[in-house]
Order: sequence, then C-alpha cells, then structure tokens
Amino acid sequence: MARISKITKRIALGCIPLATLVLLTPKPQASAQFDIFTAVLGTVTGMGGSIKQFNADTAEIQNLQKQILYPVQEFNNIQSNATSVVNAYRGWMNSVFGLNLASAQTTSGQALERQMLSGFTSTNPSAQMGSLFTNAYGSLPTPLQATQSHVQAIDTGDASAQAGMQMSVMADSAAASTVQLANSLESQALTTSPGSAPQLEAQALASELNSMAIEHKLLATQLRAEATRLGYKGAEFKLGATNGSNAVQGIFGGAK
Amino acid sequence: MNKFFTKVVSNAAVKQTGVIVVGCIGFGLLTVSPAKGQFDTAAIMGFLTTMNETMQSAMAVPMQIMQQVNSDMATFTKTALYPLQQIQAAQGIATQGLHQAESMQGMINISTASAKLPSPQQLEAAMLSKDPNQGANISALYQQTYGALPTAQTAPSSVTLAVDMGDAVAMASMKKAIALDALADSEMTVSQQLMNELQTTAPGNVPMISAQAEAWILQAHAYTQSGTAQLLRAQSADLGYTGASMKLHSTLTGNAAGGMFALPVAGH
Repeated sequence: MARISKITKRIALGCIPLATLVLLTPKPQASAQFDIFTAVLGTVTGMGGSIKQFNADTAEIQNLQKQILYPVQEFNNIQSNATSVVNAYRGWMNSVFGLNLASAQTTSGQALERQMLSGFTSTNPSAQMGSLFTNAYGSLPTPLQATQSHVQAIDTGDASAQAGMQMSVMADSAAASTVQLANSLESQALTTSPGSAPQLEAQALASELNSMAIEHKLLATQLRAEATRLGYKGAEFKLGATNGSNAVQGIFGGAK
Repeated sequence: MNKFFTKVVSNAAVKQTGVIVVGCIGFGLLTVSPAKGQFDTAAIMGFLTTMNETMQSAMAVPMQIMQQVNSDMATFTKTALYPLQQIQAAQGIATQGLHQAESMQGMINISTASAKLPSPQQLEAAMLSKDPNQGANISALYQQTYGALPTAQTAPSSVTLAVDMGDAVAMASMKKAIALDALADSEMTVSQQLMNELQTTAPGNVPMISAQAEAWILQAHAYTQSGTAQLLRAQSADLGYTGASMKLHSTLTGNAAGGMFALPVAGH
C-alpha cells in the first residue's frame, strides 16, 4: 500500500512538466498571424473591387461626355452649318446695310443729305451741319420779321432738328461698328470650342448692353425732337392769343 | 508541520522532480517563443505571393485602365472642350469689343448743341446735360422759350387746356430724355467694365458675367419701354393738338373739314 502511494506521488510529480509544456505551446499565436494574412488579402480584394467600380463610373462619365454632352461629330456639324450661314447671309446683309439712300435733288439738299449719310469718321460733322442746315432750311427770322417768342421757338426747333441729324450720323457709325463686332464674334464662333463659346456669348451680351445704351441715346434725341414739335404747336396757340387776344386766330394764321 | 516539510524536501524523488520541472520551464521559455510562429518563412512567402497575385489582378489592372480613361478624358477636355488657343482668341475678341465700345462712347457724347439765342441755348443745355437734377429747371426754361399759358381773357378754356397738356407732355419728354441720356452713360460704363473683365476671365467663370450682363440688358429693355411710353404720350399729345384745332374750327365755322386744311402750320 505504501509502495502504491509512492508510485502515485511520482506520477503526479511527473505530470507537472507535461502540464507546463502544454501551457507554453505557441499554437494560439500562430493561428492569430494567419487570420491577419487572410484579413489583409480580404482588404486588398475589397480595394480592387472599389477601383473596378470607380473605373466603371469614370468610363460611364467619359462616355456621357463624349457621346451625349459633347459629341465631336456634332461640333463639326454645328461649325459647318455656321459657316454655311455666314456664306449665305453675311455678304448679302452687308450689301443691303450699305445701300445708298441718297435722294435729294437740289444742291443744298444734296449737301445736307450727304452730310447726314456720311457716317462718322474721325471728324466731328457738327461744325458743318449748322451751315448746311441753314442753306437747306433758311436762317432765323430777324426781329423785324417775327416776334422774339417766335424766333426762339424756331431756334429751339432748328437746334433739335440738327441734333437729330448729327445723332443719326453717329448712330450710323455706331451701327457699322456693332455689325463689325458681330461679324467678328460670328467668325470666331465658327472655330471656337464648346468651352469657349460662353466667352463669346458673354462678349455679345456686353456689347448688346452697349448697343442698347446707344438706342437710349437715340430715344432721348427722339423725345427731344417730339418735345420741340409740341413746343412749336403750343407756341403757335400762345402767339395767336397774344397777338390777337384770341388764341383761335393763332391756330388759323393769327400768329404771324 | 515544519517537520513534514523538511522530510518532503529532503526526499530524493522530490528533489529529482523539482530539477525536472525547473528544466522544463527553462526549456519552454527558451525554445517555445512566439517568434517561431511569426517568422515562419514559408507561410510568409506564401502569403506575399498570394497577396501580390491578388494586387496584380484586383488593383493594378483596373488602375491601369482607369489611368488610360483619365488620360483620355484629360486630352478630350484640353483639345476639344477647352483648347487654350480658343480661350485666348475669345479673350482677344473682348479686347476688340472694349476698344470699339470706348470709341463709340467718345463719339456718341460729342456735343450736338447748336441753338443761337440765349433762352433756347439754356433750354438746350439743360436738355443735353445728362444731369437728372436739371429736370427741375426745365419748366422755367421751357416757359422762357415758348411763352406762358394763355390767360382766360386771351383764350377759351379748351385752348388753354390743350396748350397746358401739350406743354406738360413736352416738358416731361425733355426730362425723360435727360434721364435716358444719364442711364445710357451708366450702361456704357458697365458694358465696358464687363468687356474689361472678359479679357481675362476663365471660361468656367464667364457665365457669371453673362448673368450680370443679362440682368443689365433686361433692365435696359425696361428703360426702352419707359422711353417709348413717353414717346407715345408725346405723339398722342400731338394728335390731341390736331383734334383740338379741328374742334375749334368746327365750333367757329360749323365745318371741321375746313380746319383740316388750315391746320398744318398756323400762319401758312
């Protein structure tokens, strides 16, 4: 019995180193390393999938740009059509725009007309306009020929008429300049790219604003002319009333 | 207790076992380290090979395709959509437009004054002043040039009313002309400012200038409509004068038709 107990003790003591070896075995660590390898491979594969998707999206955008938004063949068609429009209209329109309008028959009338239709170069036509206008329409009445009010009304009317004529010369010149710029823009549009076309459009818009400003100047001149016309008529009524104590006479000739 | 412990320690079997245990622990600590698992060369090489193959197939090939697509898009954008030469050419047109606009402004603002007598000269100067404040002086200058309204003793009320309306519309037209001149100057200034910007603006930002120009053009259309409305009033007042003359003639003679032939210019 004592011997059995001794053997048992020895076996028990012998198990201790075995238990220690089992505890210190590195198996769990090695298993963790291989899990990380698998995870890294999974991540790389996932990134590859994302790149493929990104690539597919980019190719789709490229296709959209080249085939739907900016098809190159269409550029060429548009430019070709624009060239046809230029060839068909520009020369004809310029010739119509430059038609000779002169129609006066007398010498003085022709001189004034020539000045009015001359266009503005580098010389201010205003200096010559006064004498040409007087030659065509006569001088102001003298104090012996008309009342001061009458003469003043005529002077204002003549001044307004001359201003209108001068403004028409400048307007012709401005119009020619605007047509020239419009032709330049159109010519540039024949070769421009879709990305640069908005630049030309913006330039056309800015020039349109300038053109409208000139129209406003002309409208202002037109308003002054119309105002002077009304002034003439009012003056006739007033003069008739003053001269004959009856405005009605002014309407029918009392305002001499 | 101490006796028992001393007896156990002095036992030879226990001593032998202790030596074995200490030896095993030492052996375990020295040989079974985690480093043996990490530097398993064969496993690592296998992993690296697999990873290289995976990166080749899953990443390198698609990235090469992507690079090609991006390069293609860059070429298309640079050569077809936004060629630098076309951008610069469009900016050059802006320079041309600016010079023409400046030239036009200089020309259109040349004085057109030509009245000879003092009163008409003053009225003309006010009308051509482009100064909206001059509108306040128009009434006095107009009356100084064209005379005052007839009195009740010198004209029937219908005549006075017609003259009053005609004069009022004429003066309003003169004031509107001054306003339009002033507005036109502002429009020219802004137009030139926009053209100046267009000389250097990038194509991507150009629509912002277009939007501003469009807004000004819309505003300019409104001024045109307003000026045209005043012109209509002036032409209507002119027609009113003609009608008033015919009515007066018919009142006096019982025959309006006679008035038609006496109307064009009084005194002729």
